[in-house]
Amino acid sequence: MSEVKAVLAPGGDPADRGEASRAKPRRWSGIGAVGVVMIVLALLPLAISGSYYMHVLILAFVYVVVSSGFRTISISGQFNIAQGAFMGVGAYAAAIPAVWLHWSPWVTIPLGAVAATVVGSIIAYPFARLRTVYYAMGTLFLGYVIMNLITAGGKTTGMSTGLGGVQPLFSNRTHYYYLAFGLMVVSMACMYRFEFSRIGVRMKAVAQSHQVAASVGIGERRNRILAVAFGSFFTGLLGAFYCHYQGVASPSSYGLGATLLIIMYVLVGGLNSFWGPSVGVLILLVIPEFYFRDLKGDLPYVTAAILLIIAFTLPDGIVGLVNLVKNRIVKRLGRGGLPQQPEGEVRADAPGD
Amino acid sequence: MLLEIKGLTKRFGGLKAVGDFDIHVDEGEIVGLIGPNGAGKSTVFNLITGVLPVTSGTNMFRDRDITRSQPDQVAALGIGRTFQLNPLFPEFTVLQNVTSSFQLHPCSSLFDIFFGTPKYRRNERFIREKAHEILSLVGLSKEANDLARNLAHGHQKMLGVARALATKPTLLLLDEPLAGMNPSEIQYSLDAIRGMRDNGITVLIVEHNMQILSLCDRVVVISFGEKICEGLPSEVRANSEVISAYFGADYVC
Amino acid sequence: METAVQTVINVVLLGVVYILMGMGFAFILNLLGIFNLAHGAIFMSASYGCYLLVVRLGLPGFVAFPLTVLVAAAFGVVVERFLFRPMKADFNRTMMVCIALSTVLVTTFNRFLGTKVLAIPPFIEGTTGIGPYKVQTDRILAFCIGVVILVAIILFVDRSRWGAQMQAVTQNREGAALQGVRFSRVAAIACAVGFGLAAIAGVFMGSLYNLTPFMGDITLIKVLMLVILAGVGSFNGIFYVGGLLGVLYGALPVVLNGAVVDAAASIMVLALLVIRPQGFFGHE
Repeated sequence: MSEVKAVLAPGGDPADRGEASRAKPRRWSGIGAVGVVMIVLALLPLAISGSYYMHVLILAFVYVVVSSGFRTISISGQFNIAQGAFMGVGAYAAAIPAVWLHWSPWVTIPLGAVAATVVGSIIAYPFARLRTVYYAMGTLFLGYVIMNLITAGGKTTGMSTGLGGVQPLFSNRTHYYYLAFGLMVVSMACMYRFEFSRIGVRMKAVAQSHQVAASVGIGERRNRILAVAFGSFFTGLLGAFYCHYQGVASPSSYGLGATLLIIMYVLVGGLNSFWGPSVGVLILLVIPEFYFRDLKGDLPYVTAAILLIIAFTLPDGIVGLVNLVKNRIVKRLGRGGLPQQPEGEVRADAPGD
Repeated sequence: MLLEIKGLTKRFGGLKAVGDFDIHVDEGEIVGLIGPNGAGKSTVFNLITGVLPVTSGTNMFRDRDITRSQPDQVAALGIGRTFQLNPLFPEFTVLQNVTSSFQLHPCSSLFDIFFGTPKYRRNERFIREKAHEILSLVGLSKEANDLARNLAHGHQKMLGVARALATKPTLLLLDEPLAGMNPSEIQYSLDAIRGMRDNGITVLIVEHNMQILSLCDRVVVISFGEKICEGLPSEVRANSEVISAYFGADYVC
Repeated sequence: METAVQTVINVVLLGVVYILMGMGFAFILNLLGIFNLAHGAIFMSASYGCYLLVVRLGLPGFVAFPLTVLVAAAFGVVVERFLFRPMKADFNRTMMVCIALSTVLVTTFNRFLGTKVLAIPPFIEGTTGIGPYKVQTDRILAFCIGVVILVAIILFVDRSRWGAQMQAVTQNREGAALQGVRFSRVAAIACAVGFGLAAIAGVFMGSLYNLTPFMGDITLIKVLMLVILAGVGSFNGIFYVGGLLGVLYGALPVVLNGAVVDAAASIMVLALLVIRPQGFFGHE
């Protein structure tokens, strides 16, 4: 057992031990796919400039970030049914100074993000001791309380009809499109970094077993608050953008209905994979709005049917299905399973235990 | 003195789980805390590590009061521990279980982690290497890329030890390391524990398997939450109170 | 003074509604481990169902009411068997099922009846004198039915064999299984009772206030408030806190602004969640 010494001896400067551990294949295919999608989205306004489709895509960008924010919070084991309200906090924190103090949107939008972060972290503190079902119940109630307090603000918040007259950022929808697109890219990049770095590993560790996590120095409360703060920052950011885009902050956009919509996107796409929420938005928002607009009234039935199919057959959502198929194909080709993930990545995550 | 516990008491409602319990551990020792099932051994561990709040008494670690510390703070001070049941992150691979446990040394700041600075990458590379070393030490190299939940029971326990080692503890608390192991695994574990001590880790073991006695420098026997005797393994073996606690009073001649 | 009598009746009826909803929700939560997001939708559907039976089919209230409850209970059994049980209490999957169920119900009623102002017509017309005061007979009837149902629930939970089995499973599932309690049966009963109670509550609510397809959402929130206050796993707590909420929402709005009452109550519950997450009557 003399090897123990080598393992436990202070390692000196890690830089000295430079020899790289087994080189792993970078996922060029994944990076390529993301790149192609980004280029297509960046060029799309040339084709659909000013049309309704553009509006749909702006909406989709907002919901991609907000649902991914939900998922970022969920990797630490917190199923946050107040996500719509966090978005609302961002929206109102931007709308109120914009309407009553005539602040510039370039100030109020970041302000919305900060407000959502602050509110989120304050709330996360007491909620960090609730788990799974009780956390979900608590946050569902919390979302109601937040929206309740906002609408109780009298004339300042415009009560239940909402606060209108939020000054627009641009007169041209294409500009909105690019701003939303940019915000989405930056937010997604940040959330990707968050999840696939050591921070994300901590979150996933806390989600799997808070006791084991604590025994190796990963504090549950600290990390859960961090997850909420991080997730709600981008939620608030896009919430603030959304209200400037719409020109109005109305409580109905941020209530339980909105939250359930977000949860549907995430669950249909796949709660356990980073791209799940984006795929969910694509399937439940973009495709129906592009191709099935005449079916508007029946759409909830289709959504419900998709949810049921997923619940019964694909608990990991559509992305889970894609991975399954990919694995099969790779196995057929005789390469034995998916290629190794990039450095430091941890894919397996299970919110709640 | 590394760990010094005085007058430790824990009540659950009216029930006294641990009463006025004293134990101290010196640097470089292997101390056994033995006792029959339900004697309060694991409760003592949970009280030391802050998992359960202490009713009264003081826990000192390296002359620092850790009585009211949270579990993660206790771990950060250098007390590693294993668990009797489910000692791992089931959805991580074996390797990830160990790398994720390197939270304390070397430490990257949130800034470094988030922006993936060269320092962070260096640290991560270093951690992975160390993790592989630890895994080969506990005999889990082959399983490094398996999901932890698919491991056999004995391997899960060893992984628990590997995780605890990854925190680079000064004091290691082992909670029933031999429970559910077969004889060859037991022998391997005993060797491994001795190896840890030889390399400067102080070990406190909770166990009800008497085979652990051969390993210990000193043994404390607990029954119904109270210390009934303390001494060298040979003394404890001969102590009639211990025998009666284990086998009932009738067996004492 | 007539408002006083009216208020007392309202308080009791609202209290009954909250208690019934809370009990049903807690049964499903404690026994199946499922956060039934669709509980409000069931409540709303029962309201509309009873309305349809009375108005469209012309059934008398005394037939329509029990019929609604029975249908809801049967629906509960079906949902448990075909939607909840296959999910094996996995949180994400049950969430999907509940959202789907709730979406279908809310959309359907919103589509066909959502735009109209509807209310379940009184079962009995006319007024009755209580001392010198006149009160609608229908309300008095509802009051009596409410009290009877509460007593029945208490007897069911405390005295009946099913109730005992349900409490046993709540406390210790494995232990109860060892004692020969069949979990699948208990789960089915819990769902039947839970949905049935929600239906009773729905009919009560529908006879007190106008129907809207979204009445379930707000009631679900009140139920969460109730369960959080009472503490998870505490059936007694639900009675006390349900009564309290009945007073809060039945009586206080007479003298205070309803929004103020709601905001104050909400903050109170949040504060409790911080100080005592296990609720007033819960134990950890």
